[in-house]
Amino acid sequence: MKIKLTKLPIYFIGALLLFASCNLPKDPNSSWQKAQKEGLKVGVVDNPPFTNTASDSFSGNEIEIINKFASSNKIEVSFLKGNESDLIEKLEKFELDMVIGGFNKKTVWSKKAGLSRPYDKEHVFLVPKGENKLLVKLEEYIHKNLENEKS
Amino acid sequence: MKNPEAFELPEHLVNKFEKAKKLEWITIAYLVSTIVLMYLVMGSSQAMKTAWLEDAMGLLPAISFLIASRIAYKKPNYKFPYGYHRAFSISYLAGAIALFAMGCFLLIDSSISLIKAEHPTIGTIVIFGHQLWLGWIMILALVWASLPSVVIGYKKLPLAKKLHNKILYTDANTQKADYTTAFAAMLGITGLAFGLWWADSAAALFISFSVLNDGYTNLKTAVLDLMDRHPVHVDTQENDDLVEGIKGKVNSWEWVKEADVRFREQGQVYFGEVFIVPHQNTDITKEVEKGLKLLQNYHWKIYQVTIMPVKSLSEK
Repeated sequence: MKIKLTKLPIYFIGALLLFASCNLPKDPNSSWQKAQKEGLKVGVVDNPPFTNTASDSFSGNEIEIINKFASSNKIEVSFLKGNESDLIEKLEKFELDMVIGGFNKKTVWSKKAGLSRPYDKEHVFLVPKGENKLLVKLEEYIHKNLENEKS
Repeated sequence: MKNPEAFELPEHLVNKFEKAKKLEWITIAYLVSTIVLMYLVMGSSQAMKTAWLEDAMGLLPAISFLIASRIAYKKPNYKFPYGYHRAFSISYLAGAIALFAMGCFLLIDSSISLIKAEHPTIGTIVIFGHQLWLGWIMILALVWASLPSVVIGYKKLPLAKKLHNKILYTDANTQKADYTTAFAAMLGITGLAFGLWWADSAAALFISFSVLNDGYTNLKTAVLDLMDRHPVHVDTQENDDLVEGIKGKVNSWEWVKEADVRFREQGQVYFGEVFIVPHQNTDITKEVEKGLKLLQNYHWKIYQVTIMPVKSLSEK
């Protein structure tokens, strides 16, 4: 069968729509898959009222969001407190799945970490760079549960 | 010496030229829409960034063609006794240099992102209340960046050949092949979707090579033309046999013992000299005047000719 070259992109889109309905995009480092098995590892920078780690327990509205996000996807969460640069370094090495702590969407860490869509038009969560499945899942939760409340 | 008349395209080409101008305006409008669209969705994908810059560079030939076409047909005057035909060659060179430089930059930029193993982070976008992965939207944008481009390219190609216009030809040719780069970018993003982080940078690298290659080819052609090489066909780059045709024609004139010619391209038209060894007892001035008229009507591309009577032709 002869396929006209100029028509190739059309077939391509057709194939894409098929893909889009599947389980794509995937994570290059399978962060989401691992999180489902081993739980979501979240680094927390102390930054009230978003995150509060003072009294050896984790509280704050971002902690709540992540807890709800995890339970809605039936995965465990473990929090780890630390300073920004240590946690970001762990994130870069894929030792953490997320870093939270009231990061602004214009954060200086945007070169070292991936940014989620802002959950309140202002603040974002940091994910490992290129872990797109994890990011899509997170943004899906933001879209369904947080953005709709506003409108 | 009298200045030649203002150049006029033969009637059958005038409307082709107007059509070419119209198509270049359409090209600009289309490319601007593509550039805006791609910018909005490009995210942190290296392949998208490269394809975006490539499209932005695509504006250059269209703009330089339109600028040159306003200048090139001005009447020759005291300051510019040969007219303004080189406007095409100059804008062609300028565009070629820009393309070549951009190709170099993109090649380095994409290589760095591949070497540093950049993992492009691509999130989602909400369109009409639906959340979609931005990667799929990028691919749709790339479809818009490729299909119409191929159509416009194919429309411009025959016009460029008829008008003997290099800017138009390269522009048409690059646009016609634009789907390959868009396709590469699509593959890169699809690769990303499957979790292959390197697919994006690899696609970007491929696109950079294609830009660099276009830049190199154009630069070479532009420089060779400005070096006054033998006129060539715009598509095949083979010697235009029009020159040999004139030589044969001149040699067939009765008063001519032997003759040689040389021509060079200036934009769309040819300038040149004819050296003639006349038979004895020829009324040279009269014959030269007659010859000039004959040559001017020979072909529209033969714009300005000097006929030079000589005692003998020098060895080549």
